Amino acid sequence: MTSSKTIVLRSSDGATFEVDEAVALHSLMIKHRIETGGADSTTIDVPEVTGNTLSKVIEYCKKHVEAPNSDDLKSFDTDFVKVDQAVLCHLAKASYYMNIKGLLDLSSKTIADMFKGKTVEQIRETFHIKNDFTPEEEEELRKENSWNLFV
Amino acid sequence: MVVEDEEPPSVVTFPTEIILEILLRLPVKSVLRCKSVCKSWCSLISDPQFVKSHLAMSTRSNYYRQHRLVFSTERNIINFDKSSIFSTNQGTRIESCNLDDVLYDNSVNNALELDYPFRRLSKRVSIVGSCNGLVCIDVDKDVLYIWNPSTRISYRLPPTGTYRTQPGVYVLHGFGYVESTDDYKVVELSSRNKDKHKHENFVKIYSLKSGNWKKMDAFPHGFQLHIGYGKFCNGALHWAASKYLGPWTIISLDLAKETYGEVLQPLYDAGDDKVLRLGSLREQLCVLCDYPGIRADVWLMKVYGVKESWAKLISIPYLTDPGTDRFFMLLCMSNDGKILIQFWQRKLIVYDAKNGSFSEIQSLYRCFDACTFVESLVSPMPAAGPGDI
Repeated sequence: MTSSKTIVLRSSDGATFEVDEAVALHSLMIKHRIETGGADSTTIDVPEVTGNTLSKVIEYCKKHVEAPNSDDLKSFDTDFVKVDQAVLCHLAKASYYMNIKGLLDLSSKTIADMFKGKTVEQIRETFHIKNDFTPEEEEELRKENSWNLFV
Repeated sequence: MVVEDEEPPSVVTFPTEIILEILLRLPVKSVLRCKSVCKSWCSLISDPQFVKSHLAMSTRSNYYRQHRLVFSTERNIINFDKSSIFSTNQGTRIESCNLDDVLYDNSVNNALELDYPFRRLSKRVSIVGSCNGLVCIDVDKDVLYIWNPSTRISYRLPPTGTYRTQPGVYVLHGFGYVESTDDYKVVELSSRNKDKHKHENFVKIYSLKSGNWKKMDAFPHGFQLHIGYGKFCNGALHWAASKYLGPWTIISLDLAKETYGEVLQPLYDAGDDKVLRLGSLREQLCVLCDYPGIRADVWLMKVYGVKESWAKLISIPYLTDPGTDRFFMLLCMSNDGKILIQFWQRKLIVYDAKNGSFSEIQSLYRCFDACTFVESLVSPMPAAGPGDI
């Protein structure tokens, strides 16, 4: 019979977090590392994620593993993503790398909701994307979509 | 525990995989707008695989957030003549609204009138059915279109060659999808009076990929006009047919193989004059077994083709004193028991299975045809080239 084992997760900036194994396994990436790493895998490096973000991710996993059927799970999720845009983006990236489907779904959907009502220019600004269309190409696309611009 | 500062919060670079996850969760209008953001986004969105994944994501949602109701209703065209007597021309208008609004707010107040193809010149439009976000419409009993109301792209089908305005000719259609060839097909059943008691029927099938109509074996059963449009489910179109007051048969037309079959029915509760209305609920074939004036039983075929898998889901009683009103079609059912039903007298009603209450959809004068559709990027154009949507 296994006692509740703990795993240590180490972020990109050296922060360490001790979590129950069950909570850590919520990340399929970590699950895979543990399963293939053998007996030594009590400390897992997560170099793609900083300490601040990792701590939030662990908070999410804890709630979903420890109380998956609780009535307030939905409101937990809603409140969980009421964060800074940058934090939200870091969460999305972390959930992708750590393969946590629920969190990826939640954060992507929240970012997607932010898109609605934004103009093309505003979207570019938010994501620091360079406009690489020529003026002619842009005009072509604008015409194609002319019915859509103000919705 | 030392934690370094994060990157400056204003700069977060996203790998393509995450951009994809975000775009997949956007409604169609926003996705289309994102085509203009930059070239890589444009090519990502134009990829046929993206269109498929976006559709799958929208269809998968537990709630009907990406779903809309499209319906045809009356339009009064008022003409004033010199003596200021006005006459009205009845025509149809097509509107669509959020399915959530209909189910939960009982309203079509936010319905938008849709500019369907040929609208300004046409009078009557019928909605044949929808599939993967494409809607098939029949304009003035003359021209069929496959139309995506979300991207506003439509494709006009070539004429079938059937003279529909001849007396004694009845025509019914069905619209569906063949997954194995990624093809959309439209079926036309036409019945012609041979003499007083005999009808002969002709069936033609159109494939978007092939671009033409071809003749098929005749429908294996007499059919009457009231049986309505074919209901698409599990790769086949279905019609419930009966000969006058005889027993009902559910005929299926497999769109891939282009062959007929029969779907065995459950043992309905006894009742004279019962009428069957077919529908499809979340990919399952459903029968609304109507006992006029008393109730309607909703049966669902949990495993397609398996007679034993029919299950009676719910019995919906008629409103007190429905008069001549009859249940006509079950449009959709939410996970929490809200059922949208169309009534014969052209009303839409939401029945709440949890508390047994009915709510009539307000501000809807009349509703002729209705169906639900999911917002998608799917193109109705045959053989789209690379980079086209």
